[in-house]
Amino acid sequence: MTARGPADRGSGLLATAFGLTFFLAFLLAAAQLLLHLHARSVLEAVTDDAASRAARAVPLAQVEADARAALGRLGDGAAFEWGGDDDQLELRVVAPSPVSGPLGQLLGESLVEVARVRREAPR
Amino acid sequence: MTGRHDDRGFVGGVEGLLFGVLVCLLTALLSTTVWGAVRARVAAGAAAREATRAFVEASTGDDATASALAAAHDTLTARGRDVDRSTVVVTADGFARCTRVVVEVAYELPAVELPFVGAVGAVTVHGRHSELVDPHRDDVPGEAVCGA
Repeated sequence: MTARGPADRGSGLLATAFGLTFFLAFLLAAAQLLLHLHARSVLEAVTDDAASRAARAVPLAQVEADARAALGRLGDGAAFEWGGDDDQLELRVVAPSPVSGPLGQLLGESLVEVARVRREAPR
Repeated sequence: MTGRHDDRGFVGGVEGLLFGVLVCLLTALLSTTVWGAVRARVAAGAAAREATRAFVEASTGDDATASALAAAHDTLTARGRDVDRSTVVVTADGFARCTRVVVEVAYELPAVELPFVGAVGAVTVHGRHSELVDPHRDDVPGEAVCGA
């Protein structure tokens, strides 16, 4: 045992605990951010697909059911709003964000995606 | 034996973990930037696709290009994009059955967007789509010669 050993024991405990908590909080934030980006990408792709299918005269109820299934848990609380006119179809999908807590409030509590496509018809 | 009693080699303090925090921040920044570019690329692709559809389904050749441009701008606007940052180029050899139309949409977005600093640099993403004017549709003069 050295003379210096006992005097230094435990000296880094507070810094380690504080630093580790800080690091884990940032790691959690980074993971939540990636989850948010992934959810938005999934919602965008599903919204595009749903709008394209509806524009080809697939029944809206079937399109919505398929879209909810494709969204998984994200689709449970999703709202589908259909609009447009004779030439265009617009679909707005609002889904609750999978990210909660302070970062969830910062990024937005709900995800919104809009797709606008032309209605397809034989000419 | 001294290994159990002193702090030699121990770098788990704030100065050591700062590196980990920086890694997390840079990873988040990189992910967000790449994801933003991919999203813009998807928007440009969708705009090009809608513009192409608008062109080949236009009522007459006179308004085909205008319809294509309007459709591209509509799609970008619906996705929350700034039309002023986009460039839409419609290339077609007239408006007849089997004519190929190519629409290219370029969209400029910041290379990196930093908190409190704003946009730094710029990158341009491209979307491209191509179709033939339907040989079997009405309202288009001439014969279908797609295979010629």
